[in-house]
Amino acid sequence: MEWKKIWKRLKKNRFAVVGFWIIIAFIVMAIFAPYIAPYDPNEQDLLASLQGPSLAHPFGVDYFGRDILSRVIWGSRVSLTLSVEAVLLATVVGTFIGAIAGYYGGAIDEVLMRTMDVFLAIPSILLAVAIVAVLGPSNFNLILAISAYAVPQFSRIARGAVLAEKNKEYVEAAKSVGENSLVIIFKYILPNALPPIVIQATLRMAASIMSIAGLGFLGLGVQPPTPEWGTDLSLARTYLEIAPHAGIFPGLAIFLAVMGFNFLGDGLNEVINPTLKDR
Amino acid sequence: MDSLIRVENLEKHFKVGRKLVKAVDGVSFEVMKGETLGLIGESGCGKTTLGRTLVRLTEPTGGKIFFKDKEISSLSQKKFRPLRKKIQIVFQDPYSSLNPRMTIREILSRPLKVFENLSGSEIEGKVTEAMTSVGLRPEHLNRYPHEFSGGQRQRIAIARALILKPEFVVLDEPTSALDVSVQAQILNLLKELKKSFNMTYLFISHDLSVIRYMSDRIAVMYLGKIVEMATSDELFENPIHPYTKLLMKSIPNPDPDKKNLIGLEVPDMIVANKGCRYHPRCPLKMKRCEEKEPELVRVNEEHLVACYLSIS
Repeated sequence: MEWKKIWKRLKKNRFAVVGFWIIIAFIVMAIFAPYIAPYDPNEQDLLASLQGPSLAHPFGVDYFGRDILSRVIWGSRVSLTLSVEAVLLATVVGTFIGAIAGYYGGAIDEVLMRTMDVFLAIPSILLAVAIVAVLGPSNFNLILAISAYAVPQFSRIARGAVLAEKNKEYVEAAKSVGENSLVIIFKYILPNALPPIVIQATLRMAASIMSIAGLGFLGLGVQPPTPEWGTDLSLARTYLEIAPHAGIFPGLAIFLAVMGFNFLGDGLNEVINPTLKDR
Repeated sequence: MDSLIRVENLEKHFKVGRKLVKAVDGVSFEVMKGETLGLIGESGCGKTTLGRTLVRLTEPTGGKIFFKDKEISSLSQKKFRPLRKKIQIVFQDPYSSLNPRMTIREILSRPLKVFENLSGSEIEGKVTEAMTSVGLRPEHLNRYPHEFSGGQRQRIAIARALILKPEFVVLDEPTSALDVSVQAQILNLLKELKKSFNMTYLFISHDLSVIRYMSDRIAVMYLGKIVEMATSDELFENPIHPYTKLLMKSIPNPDPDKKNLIGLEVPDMIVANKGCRYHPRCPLKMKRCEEKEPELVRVNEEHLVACYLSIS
C-alpha cells in the first residue's frame, strides 16, 4: 500500500490522530527542552523541598527541591532518545535476521528462528534486568537490554512479510535479470515489506518507554541525577503520602507517551490490516 | 535451420505432501533459431512450469536443456547467470511482475547495471531506446508502475526482458491478464520486436486463436507431456490427437445457431496411473490405451502425435 493512502486513512482514525499529536508534543518538548523548561532540572532549592504545585512551580517541587515540570520536560528527551535508539537497533537487527530467514528458508530459517524463540521465552523485563545486572547500568547497556527482547519480534514480523513477498513475480523477474540474492532481499523485497515493520516499531516505542521507566524505577536504568521519569517516580514513591504530586506528574508523562505510541501503532495496524477492525 | 533450444526428456516433479505431482513429465522438443514455438494446454498442465524451467527459475528434476548445443540444465545458478542475458522471460501478470516501489527507470536500468559496465548516460540512452521501442514515452520513466494501465505495464515488462538483447524469450501467457483490445496490440508489438531484434520465442498460452496468430509451430501439452506437435497450419487443418480436437472444438463459435462446445463435458483432470494419460477423458479410448502410453511418433514431415489412432 502506498504511504500516501495510509496517511489519508489514518487521518480518519480519531485515536491514531490523538496519538500522533501526543507524540509530536513530546518530540517538541524533547527537542526544545532547554527553551521550554522554566528551571535547570538539576537546580536544587532545598527550602522548597516537596512543595506542592504553585504559580512558580506548576507541577510542584521534588524532595531535592528540583522543579518537577522542568524534570518532566527534560525527561522526555532522555526517554525518547533512548527508546528511538533501542527500537532502531532492534528494527535493523531483527529485520535483517528475519529477512534472511524468510528468504532462504530451510535450515537457515530453522536455526535463526529457533534462536529467536529462545529469547522470546524469557519475560522481557527479566531479560532486561539480567542484561543490565551483568553488564552494569549505562545508557548503552540499557539500549542493549531493551532491544534484546524486541529483536525476535521484529525478526518474526520481517520473516512473515518477506515470505508473503518472495513468491511474487517481480522477485522472479529480478532473478531472471540476474540480480543476486542480497540485492533482491534488500532492494526489491524489503521496501515492499516495510509497513508491518513500521507498525511494530511504533508499538515497540511504547513498550520501550515503559521498559526504560521500569528499569529506572528499579534503579537499573538511567542513573540520577539525570532527569528520567521512572527514576523520578521511584524517588517520589517514598513521599507519596505527603507529596503525591512528585509521583503523579512523571507517572502521567509515562502514561501519555505510552498511550500516544500505542494509539498511533494500533491505528496504523488497522489501516494496513482492515480486517482487524471487525474483531 | 539450427536449433537454439533443445530439451531432452525434461522432468519437473513436485512433492506435495506425500503426493508426487508430475508437472512436467518427460518432454522433448527443439526450438529453431528465429521461430516461434507455441505451447498450448489447459491450466495446470505444466506449461508455465516448463517455461520457468527453461529460464532456470525452477530447477528440473530430470532431463536436459541445451542452449546452442551447450547443456545449461546442469550448470550452477552462478555459472548460468551470464546466460541470463541471452535467455529472458516475460511473465503473465504485469500487475505483479513489476516492483511497485521502483520507478520505471530503475526497473529498466537494473538489468544493464547487473550485466553491462556502462556509464550513466549510456544507460540512460539504452533505457530511453527501450521505452520507445515498446511504444511508451521516455518522459514517463520517472513514474511508478501503478501509474500505468495493464497494457502499458506489460510493455514495460517486455522492455525489461528485451533491454539485454536476448536471443531466446519465454513468453508466459503475456496477454492473458489484459483486455481483448489491448491483447492484439501487445501481440503485434511482440511480433515486430521479434523481427527487429532477431529473437526466438517460446509462446505459452491457453488461447488457441492467440497461439495460431503467433506461432510457426505448436506443441500441445496435456498433464505434463506433449501429445501433439506440428506446424501451425498443419495442426489446425489436420488435428489428430483427440485432446487437440477437443481444444479446437472449444474455440467459441460466433454463430448463435451452432451450439458451442457440442457434446463437451468438462471432465476432471484425472491422472491415469497406467496407459495413455488422456484415456480417462478420451471418447475414442481403446483397450490398449489403458495399458501402455503411446510414444510421440512422426506421422509426416511436420507432424508428431502421441496417440494410437495415428497408427491404426
